[in-house]
Amino acid sequence: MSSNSQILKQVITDTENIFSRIAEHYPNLLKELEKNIKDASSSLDKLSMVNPGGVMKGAGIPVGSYLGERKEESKKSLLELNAFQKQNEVIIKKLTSSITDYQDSQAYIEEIRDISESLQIVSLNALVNAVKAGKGGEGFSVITENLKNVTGTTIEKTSILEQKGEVIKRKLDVFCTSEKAISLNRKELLELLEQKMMSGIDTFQVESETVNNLLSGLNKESEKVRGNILRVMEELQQQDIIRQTIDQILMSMKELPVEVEGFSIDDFSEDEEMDKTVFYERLIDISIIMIDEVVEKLNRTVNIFSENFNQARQRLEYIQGEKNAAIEHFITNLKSMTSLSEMNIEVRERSNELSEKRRGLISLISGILKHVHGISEEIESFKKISGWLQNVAVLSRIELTRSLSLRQMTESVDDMADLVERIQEQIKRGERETGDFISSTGMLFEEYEAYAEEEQHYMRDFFESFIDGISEMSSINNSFSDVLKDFNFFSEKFRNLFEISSGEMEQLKKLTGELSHVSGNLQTLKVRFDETIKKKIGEKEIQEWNISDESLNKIIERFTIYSHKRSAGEVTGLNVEESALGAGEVTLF
Amino acid sequence: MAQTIMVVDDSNAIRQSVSFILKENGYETIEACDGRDGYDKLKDRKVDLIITDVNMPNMDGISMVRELRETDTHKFTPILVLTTESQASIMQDGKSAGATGWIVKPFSNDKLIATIKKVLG
Repeated sequence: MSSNSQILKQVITDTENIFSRIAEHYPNLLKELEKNIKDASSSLDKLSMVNPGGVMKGAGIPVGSYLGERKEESKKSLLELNAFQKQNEVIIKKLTSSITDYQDSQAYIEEIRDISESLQIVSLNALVNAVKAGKGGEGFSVITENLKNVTGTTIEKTSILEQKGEVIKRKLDVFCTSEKAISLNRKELLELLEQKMMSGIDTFQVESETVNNLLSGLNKESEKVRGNILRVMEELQQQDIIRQTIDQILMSMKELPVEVEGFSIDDFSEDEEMDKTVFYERLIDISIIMIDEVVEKLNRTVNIFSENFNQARQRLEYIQGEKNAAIEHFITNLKSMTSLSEMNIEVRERSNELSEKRRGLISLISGILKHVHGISEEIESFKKISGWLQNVAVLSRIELTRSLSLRQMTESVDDMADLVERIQEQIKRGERETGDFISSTGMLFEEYEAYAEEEQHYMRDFFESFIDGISEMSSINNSFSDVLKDFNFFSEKFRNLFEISSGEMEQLKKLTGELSHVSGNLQTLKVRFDETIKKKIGEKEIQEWNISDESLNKIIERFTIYSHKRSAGEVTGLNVEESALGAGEVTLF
Repeated sequence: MAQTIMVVDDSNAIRQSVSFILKENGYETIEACDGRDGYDKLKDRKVDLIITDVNMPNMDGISMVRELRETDTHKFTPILVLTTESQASIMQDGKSAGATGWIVKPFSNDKLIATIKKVLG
């Protein structure tokens, strides 16, 4: 078993070693922390700035500005797409109105048919009269026979014209209905795009800002760990005080006749000097006071160390937790990017389908135009018929002048001429209106085709830029995640150093146990000395014993810590009072 | 250029602790483990300030101050005594030996730095 002085010497050595190790570790801890804070700050700068496409030199632009610009660009693109949409709606409206006009204009066909039917009746009457006229009416009979056939053809042609008009109308209806459906789908897509894209960018922005704020907070929090480290460093001064106090205890105990451990009061003979007995008792008393003070100081130091370790550890845990939360935010961002990307694929596919449908409509337009041109051709054939009817009218007049027997037919020939003229008018009307329709629809179709092509290009560019935007944001997010991975306030080395120091506290606590053990030994001895002194005082029939030996005073004089000197003075009754400075007091000479 | 301060203390922990605080505040430091070591290291070199403990083996701080004041190099170098000794009589010894100031342990880092700044002007 170690003696009390051995234990005390060991406490000096151990505290010196422990405090020295802390003194060596902590500057490293602080250096490590400062380096990490610096790295983390530089990471934070990286997080708050982006370098889109890696083309910019220097620090890049702030994330907020970049995302703001992206949002503005997207809004502008969406507005342009909406403008396309409106332009398309105008074309379709014009086309619909053109179709209605054309349908109204189809009345000329009816007219031609009605007139042709009248002409047929008139020609039939003329034929009957011509037959009645006998030989003189033969030529006229041929003319009216032909007239009857031509009007029959005219009537047939009006039916064909009507059918063609119907086909055009049907096809135009299909076109308009399909185009309206496409427009509606496109509109829905644009709305979806607007909503998702804006909310995607907003989410990215909010999440990025949240992460930035969160990490800035962590930077401040890690600065507090620095405060904990500095406080521990300040507390290291206690080692000097502890060492000197134990030196004083050892110096006092050295004066005892034997080592306290194993010392027997019986070693004192009855005639041992009373002065010496009281001297030893007082020395033990002073030593106990000082040991208790060392224990108190050690406990205080351990508490300060532990408090700062715990605070620092809690901060480390908090920071780790917050960092994990930041990672979660990036995962949200990543999800938002993935969802935007998926949405982009979906919208692009649907948009391509719409473009495909629109291409189908353009083929439909070609078909419609072919039919419209067919009507034009029919009108051309009407013009031939019209010329022929004109000839018939002229020939009929000639025949009328040639044969007196046909004079009673003058009225019929006039009617015929009148009807032919009216057919010619209607044919001209049909020609004009069909021409107008062809020209207006042709222009609208051209406009529509040009629009469809332009819109398709725009959509393609839009999606490409959208993909670029998403890939840029994803790449920013990825680089953020990479930065975040390296964003570490406390390296493994830091944690290890920290844990070592934490382990030292356990050893310090153990030392207080050793000191308390020595204090206990001295207490026991003190009790025995007290009993002896009491007994001797009783024998001498006196109240108390005042030490006259100067040796105790000399020991106290050698104490280097004034508070101990004063305590010793109180215990021994010796006068050691003099003016002294307080702890931490500064005097400049 | 950073100012240099010599820290003399037989406790490694105190030396490290004080040096650390000084470095944190932009000073350069050199260290000595007692008065003798401090004297030997200082006799041929200049420093801007000396901080010394009192109770040390081989040579105590007050003796070192006295001997350094005998040298031309350190006749006027500011010397702060950083000690657990709080008795006015011992502080008077330090003053007589030529110390510039007396700081009683335990001290606060801030107070120490403020005193150094004051002494260095």
